[in-house]
Amino acid sequence: MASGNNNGAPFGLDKHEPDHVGHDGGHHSHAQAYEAEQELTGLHGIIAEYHDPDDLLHAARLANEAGYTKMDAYTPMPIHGLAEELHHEDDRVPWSAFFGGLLGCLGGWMGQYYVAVVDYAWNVGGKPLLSWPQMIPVAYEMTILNAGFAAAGSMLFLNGLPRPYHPVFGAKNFERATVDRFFLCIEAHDPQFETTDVARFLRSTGADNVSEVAK
Amino acid sequence: MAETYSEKANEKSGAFFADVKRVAGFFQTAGFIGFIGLIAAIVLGGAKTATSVSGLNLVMQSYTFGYIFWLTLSLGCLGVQLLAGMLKATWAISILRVAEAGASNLRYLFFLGLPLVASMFFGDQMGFHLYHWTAPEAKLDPVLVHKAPFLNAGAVLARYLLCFGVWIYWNHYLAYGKRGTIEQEKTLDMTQAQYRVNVAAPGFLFFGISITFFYTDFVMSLDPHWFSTIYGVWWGAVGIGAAIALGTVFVTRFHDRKPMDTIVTPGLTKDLGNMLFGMTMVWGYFSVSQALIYWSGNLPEYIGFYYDRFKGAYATLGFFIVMGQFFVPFLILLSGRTKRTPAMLGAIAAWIISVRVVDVWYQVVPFFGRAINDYGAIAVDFAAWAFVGGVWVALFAAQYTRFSPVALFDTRLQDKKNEGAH
Repeated sequence: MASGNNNGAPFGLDKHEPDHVGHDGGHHSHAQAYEAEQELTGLHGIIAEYHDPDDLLHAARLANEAGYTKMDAYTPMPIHGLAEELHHEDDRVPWSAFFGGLLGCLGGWMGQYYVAVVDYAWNVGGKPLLSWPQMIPVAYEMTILNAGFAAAGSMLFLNGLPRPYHPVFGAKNFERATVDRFFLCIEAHDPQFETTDVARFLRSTGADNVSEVAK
Repeated sequence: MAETYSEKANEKSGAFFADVKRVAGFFQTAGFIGFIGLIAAIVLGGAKTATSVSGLNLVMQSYTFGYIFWLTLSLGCLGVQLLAGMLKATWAISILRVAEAGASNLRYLFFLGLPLVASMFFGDQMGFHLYHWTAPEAKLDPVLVHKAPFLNAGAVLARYLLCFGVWIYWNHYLAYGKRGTIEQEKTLDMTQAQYRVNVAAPGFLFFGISITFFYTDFVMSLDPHWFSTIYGVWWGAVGIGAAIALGTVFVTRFHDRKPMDTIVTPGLTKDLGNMLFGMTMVWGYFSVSQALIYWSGNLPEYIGFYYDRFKGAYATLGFFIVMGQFFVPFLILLSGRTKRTPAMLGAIAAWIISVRVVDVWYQVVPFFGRAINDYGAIAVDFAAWAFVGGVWVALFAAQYTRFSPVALFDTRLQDKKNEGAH
């Protein structure tokens, strides 16, 4: 997050050369440098509000082309293609589900093996103790169950949920994100982030409203 | 009008069609060699093989395998056509022309299946009985006597005529008739689609019933004492999976060529990959349910089927099929990257079709009680497969290249592609 880049900032000692790539040249006054810090530490991002999902999708595409990478969208319903435009390419949940399923399969299998072969070896209808075809349903169900748990659990964990408060809740009109409005937020920790540029850019994408989101 | 339409389709897809025809030419050559092989096997009388069966008997066994494979593929194509007719799903439109052409081969497969029907009537004259229940000894078997009112040559012929009649009619109605997709491309009359839904929805129900009767008559009755209620539907899953895989091969192989490049998007290949994944699951589910119930029951009248297929090297082959038909495509198709990359998706689709050939062999041939290492007989099996395949592919290619390979009656795929472009 933004604060991670500015560990020294709270001490207020070294504001002469902020490691902020958005600014050009090296002729910063103290006031300018302080403003740059404010951009990084005081703002969550700039948010744009749209009334049409296609406008949002179009804006996300333009933001991509403009080179912004740290952004998120908030919509009342899933929008096809939006995740791709936002470059949310994170494989950790699928892989968690895969290994959860694998563990579930092994666990279901080993559990039955322990019961049927080791702990309570019982001849059923002359079949071998390791009557593996009959172990398929339980192993299969355990695979599905654990893959589901791993997917839901890793999703909650990696998203940092449950999380009672998020800065974007304070954005103007944000209560309509669950009703009929579509939001695109370019976040302050984007390498290209510069308040006026981002706001101008978002207005140019045909947003109904553009506003700052405080931390 | 049909000529100008075909010419137009050809004009746009010339290079693409040339490739299809080249592959068809390869299959035709293989089919011709297979045909020579079958003649040789009849003449040599099976002397070169370890089997005690006569040449004609062996050729009929092999022909049953070859015929059932290609018929299953055509029936799968018909299943896809019925699904496409009733679901209005976009993925189905991308493979519809393959399905229509594949299912149109049913009218020729009707004639190619007549030798099997004839063997039920004329077993005594031929000196062997491909289907044991047609032999005179069957009259001494109380179980077969009990089944005779259903399982007799006349009744099988009647069901054969009914099934093929309805199948061929559906293929014609949905594709080439006056309410078909081809006609709609000329008239652009969108109201025709609803007529197809009205036919395809009940049609799919009857499809399930008709294939149950057909595979009961022609495959399950190879061991007339054995029975399984899921058998017909299992074959339906084999066929529909193979048909979707065949369509996927066409879509992915030519994804950057005209005119296929107007419809292929990552969304489409993802849909096709998910359908292949789903059909892999259905195959595994049906196979396991049947095996599991028989394993639990462990009753003599059920387990003969598996007993024959778990003997010696047959068990190894069965293990390979479970791996190749279920675990390999299952694990590979889990990955999103496979479904986004046309070359990888096409490779796995081709793999699914190839393993299905082995799977059908494993289903049909152990009924004949041959030793698995009878390589001469296996060579005849694949000569028969190549012969029917040569005919199938040649007729398929002729039909496929008559029309636009990309369906034009419903342009949702093209629209989606264009949407992504701007």
